[in-house]
Amino acid sequence: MPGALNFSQCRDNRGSWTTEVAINALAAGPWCGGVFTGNRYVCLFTLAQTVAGVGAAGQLFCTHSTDGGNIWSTPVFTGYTGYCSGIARTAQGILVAAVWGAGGTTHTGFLQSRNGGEGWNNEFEFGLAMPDLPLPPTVTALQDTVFCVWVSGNVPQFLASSDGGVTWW
Amino acid sequence: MPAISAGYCGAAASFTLSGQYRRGRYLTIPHENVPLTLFLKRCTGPVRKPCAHPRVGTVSVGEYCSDGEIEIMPLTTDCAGNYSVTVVGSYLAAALAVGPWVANPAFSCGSPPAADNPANAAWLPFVRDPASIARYGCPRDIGASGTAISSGLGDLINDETGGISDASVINGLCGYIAPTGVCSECQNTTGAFFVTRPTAITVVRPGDGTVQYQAQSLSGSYTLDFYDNFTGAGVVAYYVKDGSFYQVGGAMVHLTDSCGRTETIGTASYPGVSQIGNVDWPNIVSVTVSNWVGECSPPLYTSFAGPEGPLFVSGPLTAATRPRILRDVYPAVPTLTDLCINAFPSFGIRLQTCTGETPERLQADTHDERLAVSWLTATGGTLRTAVHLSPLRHIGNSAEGWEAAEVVESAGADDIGMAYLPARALYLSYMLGGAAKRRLNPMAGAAGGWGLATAAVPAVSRHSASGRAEGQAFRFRALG
Repeated sequence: MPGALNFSQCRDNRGSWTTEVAINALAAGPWCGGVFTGNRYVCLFTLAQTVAGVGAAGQLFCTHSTDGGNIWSTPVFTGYTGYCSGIARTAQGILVAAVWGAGGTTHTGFLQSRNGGEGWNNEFEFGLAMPDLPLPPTVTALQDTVFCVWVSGNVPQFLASSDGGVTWW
Repeated sequence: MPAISAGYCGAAASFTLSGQYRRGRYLTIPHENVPLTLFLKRCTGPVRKPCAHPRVGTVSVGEYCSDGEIEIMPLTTDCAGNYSVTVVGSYLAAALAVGPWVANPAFSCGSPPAADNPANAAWLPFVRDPASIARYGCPRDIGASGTAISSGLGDLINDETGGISDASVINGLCGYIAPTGVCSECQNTTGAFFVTRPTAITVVRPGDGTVQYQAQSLSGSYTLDFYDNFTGAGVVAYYVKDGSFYQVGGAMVHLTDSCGRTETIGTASYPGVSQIGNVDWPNIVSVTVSNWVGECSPPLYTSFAGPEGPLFVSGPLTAATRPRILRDVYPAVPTLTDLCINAFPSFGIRLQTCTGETPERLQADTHDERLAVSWLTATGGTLRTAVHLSPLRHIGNSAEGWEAAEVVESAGADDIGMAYLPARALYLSYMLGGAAKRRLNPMAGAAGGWGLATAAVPAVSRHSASGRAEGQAFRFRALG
């Protein structure tokens, strides 16, 4: 179902959030990915419905803001489909996005960007690493290690990658 | 083993030829039920008879000594790989070859066409069953005591330059199928025919032998088979699905051969090579599969429900000599598994199950080397949080090392959001009873650190994504 994709910030330690800025009105929820690259905010979201001249429902688009989240660029199709459920940024600036549910599946794949979200690709030496999950996992990073986290039976677990999401252990 | 006692057109005598056919890398395994063929050249008024056939290879034109009869006698080794045959009569020579042989229907002792290839099969008096060539390969492991099968009139087995020592035969030096020797009154013509092929036993090499690791889901019945791996040091279990070959790892395979020997091998070693050291694997009659034994997960990539439990699979074998680089986020695979394991070869990693309920919503964030997770159960709306204090240094099962999960709301929660705020407090928001709530944990998410729920400002809860920039936290909310 199409819905708003909004952005807001919190600059205190109490959880006071700024007024939301609308990024797009046709995004699919509840998942999207967002990250700060040092000079821009980057967001990956899925188009909820086909829009003539823009893209088809289920396609994954990227948009960014270079003014602190006030103005967002025209979304650009990444070339992939599915739902982004998180973006992690390593200390080296590599972005790793978890993408789940392409083609109606329940697989999780990973996209990588080495140019701050301008372009995305995936080059896997060993294919899929994540188990099949009915709902998407999420990703986060510490230093140069990316964690793909999921919960099963109230037990949190993760795979880690130290090469930008190419291989996982 | 007695020597062949038949001399040149000697009187009738008897001899026994016996030995053991062995296989294996070190020729240590008896090879049962192997078809052998004994060639016997009966000495019946031998005369020199030009044949006009040049010999194969570099040898100049020679003659095929067509005097007498050449018989072929099929033999079969027993379950210990032994064979034994006693021949009575007047024979000029004998030879033993592996596999069933038949008279070459195309053979002709007449003059070959001038333009004919000297290696033309029509010059070969006997040919081997092609299936046996593939199955049994080179008889280098024939195991016969070669010195015992010398006729005393020359070498029983000849190559282009003369006799092949028995040791050479045993070690795999290949001879050829051809008329042998110059038939000068047959004294140097032992009439032996022998072929060897420097190959291992059965080679079934799936595809072009390249590994691409990819999860597979199976339903129905599949045949588990083996092929020798690229180094010849073992075998790899595989099955065939939709025309592709898939290695199987992480399973215990129990084998029984036609002689009743049994053996259990694991198929988990990378890249799936297993050693079979007891059973005669070309003659395996029974294969059953069971789960990997032990606490350690096999170093493989995914699993499927095998006939006796989960199996772990890698494959298919489709590309060149190294794992193919995938360009698609989602290789065309169907449903994956109900078990999950760590992805890259990692010995000692315990299996991580993922068969439990998957949360309706999940949030994770990192701060100061800690990893915080919050999740909302799909049924009942229970909101839990947990923190891993050292995810960068974890060893083994990532399901371990977490602080005890804390129930923040026991029921009725929905639409959660979570993020570390700039000064390390963990922020948690959710809907409860139609109202947006928030909690703060100034202890960076530690259990017992959650403050009381207050109204979220603004009155929204969902985080689709969140993170931190310079001096701020941010969140994206996809409301569709």
